[in-house]
Amino acid sequence: MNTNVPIPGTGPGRPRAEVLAVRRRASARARFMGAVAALAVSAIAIAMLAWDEPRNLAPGMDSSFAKSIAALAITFVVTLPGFAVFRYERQSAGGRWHEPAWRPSLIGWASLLVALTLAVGWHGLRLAFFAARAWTGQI
Amino acid sequence: MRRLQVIAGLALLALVVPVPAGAQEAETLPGGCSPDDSSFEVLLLIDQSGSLRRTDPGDQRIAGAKAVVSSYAVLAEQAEVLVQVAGFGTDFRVGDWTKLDQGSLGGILGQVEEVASVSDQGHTDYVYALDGAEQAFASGGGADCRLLFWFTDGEHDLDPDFLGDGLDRFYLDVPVTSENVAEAEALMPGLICGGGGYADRLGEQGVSSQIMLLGDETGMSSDSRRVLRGMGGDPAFDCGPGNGSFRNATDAAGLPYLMACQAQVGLFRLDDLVPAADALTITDETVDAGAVPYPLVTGLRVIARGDGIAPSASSSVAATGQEQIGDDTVMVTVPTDAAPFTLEIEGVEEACAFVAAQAAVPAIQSVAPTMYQGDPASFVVVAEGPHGRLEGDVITRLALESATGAVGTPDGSGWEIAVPALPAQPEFELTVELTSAPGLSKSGQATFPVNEQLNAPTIARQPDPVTGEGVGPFPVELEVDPRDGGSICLLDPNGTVTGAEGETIGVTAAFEGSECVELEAGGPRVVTMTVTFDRSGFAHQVLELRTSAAPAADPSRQEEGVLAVDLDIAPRAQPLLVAAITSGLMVLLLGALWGIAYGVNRLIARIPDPRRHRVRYAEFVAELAPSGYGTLEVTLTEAPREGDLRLPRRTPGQLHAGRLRIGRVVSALPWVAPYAAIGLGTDLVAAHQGPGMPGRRTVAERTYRGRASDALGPLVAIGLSTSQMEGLVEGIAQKAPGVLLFDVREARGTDPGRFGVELATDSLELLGAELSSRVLADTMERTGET
Repeated sequence: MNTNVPIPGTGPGRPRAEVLAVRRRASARARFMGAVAALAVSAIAIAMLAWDEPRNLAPGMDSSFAKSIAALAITFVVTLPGFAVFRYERQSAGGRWHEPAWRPSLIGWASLLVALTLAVGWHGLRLAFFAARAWTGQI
Repeated sequence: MRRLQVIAGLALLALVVPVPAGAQEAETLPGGCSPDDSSFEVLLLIDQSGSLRRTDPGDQRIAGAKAVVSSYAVLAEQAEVLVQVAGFGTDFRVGDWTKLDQGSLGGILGQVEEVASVSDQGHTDYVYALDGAEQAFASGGGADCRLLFWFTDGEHDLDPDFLGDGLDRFYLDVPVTSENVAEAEALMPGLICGGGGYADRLGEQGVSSQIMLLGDETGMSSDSRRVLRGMGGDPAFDCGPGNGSFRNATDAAGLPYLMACQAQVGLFRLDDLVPAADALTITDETVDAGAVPYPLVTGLRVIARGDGIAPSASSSVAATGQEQIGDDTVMVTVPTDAAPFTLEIEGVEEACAFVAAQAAVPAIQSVAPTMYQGDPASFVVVAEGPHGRLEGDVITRLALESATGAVGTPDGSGWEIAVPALPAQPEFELTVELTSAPGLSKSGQATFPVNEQLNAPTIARQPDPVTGEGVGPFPVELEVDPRDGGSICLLDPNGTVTGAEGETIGVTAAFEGSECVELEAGGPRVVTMTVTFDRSGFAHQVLELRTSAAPAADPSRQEEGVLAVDLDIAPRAQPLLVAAITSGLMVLLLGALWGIAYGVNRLIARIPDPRRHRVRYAEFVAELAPSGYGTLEVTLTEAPREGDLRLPRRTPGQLHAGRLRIGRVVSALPWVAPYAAIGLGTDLVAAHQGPGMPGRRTVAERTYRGRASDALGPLVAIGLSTSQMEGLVEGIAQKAPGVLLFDVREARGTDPGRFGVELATDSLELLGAELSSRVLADTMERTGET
């Protein structure tokens, strides 16, 4: 004896349009969560790349250079595209899909802020100081 | 009884077994006399028995005895040496104690020749010899080192041929005759070696017996051999304190050599010197392998026997003295310093060598300039040698002892002595004893004031890291405690650090241009030191500067320390350039952000494609007629047919459906939500849209805000001009163009035209109500009613 409780809107008699809408909602939610995860992970990665590194870049600090450049690359390649997807799904929430909760978006904005602050305020500034010294012949 | 006989036989066998020549005594420090001894008493006791005419026909003993005196003459240059030359045989022929110096040397050598050349005594009585020696030393004034140089050519012997009517001996009540001579001779071991005998009594007077035997000891009686070997330092013979030495020569020709070798007191003997191919080679390593470390050695004395003895030209040092002390014996003297050397002497058959050395002198220093009662204290002891301060491995060969502190392990430069708590006294006296070699030691003593209120200024804590750009000067703020006042100086203000590229960067530290800063007594304060680089570079390391602090009351009491400055210096970066680069990066990032946000707004506000949704439109004309009830009735005058349904023209930015235009509006401000502007190109637009009833109804000027998805319908809109609106207010019916937009799939199998007409009819009915409210409002505005 089947004891399953029937769920309204499901079952073999469900209209195709409704099925497609459910799929769209599911894929949109996955995209949104993926974007938030990308933002958070990139923020953590950029912070880790800044961890325990000297303030001033000097000749010979190849690994430090690589870390700062990698941080900027992550910003452009991961953080900003992640924010694009995040933004798209959030703006689209006024349509047929509603965002699931406030927290993922807070994580997304906070991650974006951390990532950009570190990318510019630490990695970018280190590279800027080095470039300025090299430009003026101090190195 | 039989067992006793066996034991006695074994003891006798032990006494008569000959000792090989290599077993002859060879003390490292002859006579036990230290180089530090300041007074010597030497008694030359020379055999005068008649047998010498047979055993030493060439009088080599005279040359040997003179060599002995000559050796002591060298010693007399730095110490007081008293010499007495005595002979013995039947009796003891006493001499006088004479101070040995250059003036008396000739006379003493004359006494030696006079005494040693005598060989007229018929007996050889050891008891009389040692009795006289004991009395001679008893008559002396005492000395640090007392030596009995005893030469004999035979055993204790009372010759029956010379006894005559009887020989009076003080140790025998009756005269000695041929009948009782054996009894008399048997008394000798007990008188000398027995308890309280002459051997012990000489030992109690601090006398070391240097015994020289001419002849084969194996042929001697066991009693005589016991006396000579026992007093000569061999404890196995149980005779005397064992502080002497014994050597024997089987050939009289070797006497000068052996006697000279035995007479070198105050020197350290070098062992195992074996000539190779008639050449003797001695180096600084040979000397260092001896009892004394080479850096403490001041001279070398070699006594060699052979033919044509002469230092080789290949030697790196020159002999300062070369003295012939026998027919075939030469004494060579060589001074040394701390430098390596090689001495090669040719023509050598056998040799003995000795080194003169000076004890290392301990020098005591306090680690801290100020000491307080009850506090622990540390001291450093260094060793000063004759050629300078001792450092390195040689330190480990020295032994330092102190009764007042714990001596630590030497670290290559000296020893540290720790005192757990200073006594409650105004002064603390530290005494140490430094032993350089056996018998070669020196004590040191130093007194330090305790509780003296002389506190030099001190740096309270290490400064914070110094960061900056360029070459400085960079200020370094030091928290100092002046305490009792004084000065803090930089001992070496010029240091170096290594840059990131391995380059050396010179650093100069200063207190306002000076190496020192003077501080008045008082509380802690901040003193600014400056650090200046001689070139630009990356310096990320600790700069250590040696400092010296001295109290004002006693500038000589300096306390050294190390000031560690953590540097984080980089070349100067042009601030405007850094700002420009950073701004460029920020603009790039913010531009990318804006582009993304703007692009997303355009994306989400794009007009849907009507082809994918089968959206069609149709134009119609609606009549708006006021009713008698103050409302408007909106009806279709020209209903669209199925053939009128057309596909709208669409781009992502706008959609044209006849007169209806839906345009995407995206603000440049990313946070403003995009929308779609919907209108018919008329002054007023009234629209009803959205699936289901009642949907959204609106009346707006020219356009109204909608969403891009409104382009999918259903949407019914009509347009009115301002004059038409005024006509409606005046109650005049008007005709207005309209557009119907919907997804034909919504017809669900029915006639799309008819479905559209029904849709339009329903929507116009709702729009009539909406427009009625608008017309009423305009009417009331015109009439001023409320």
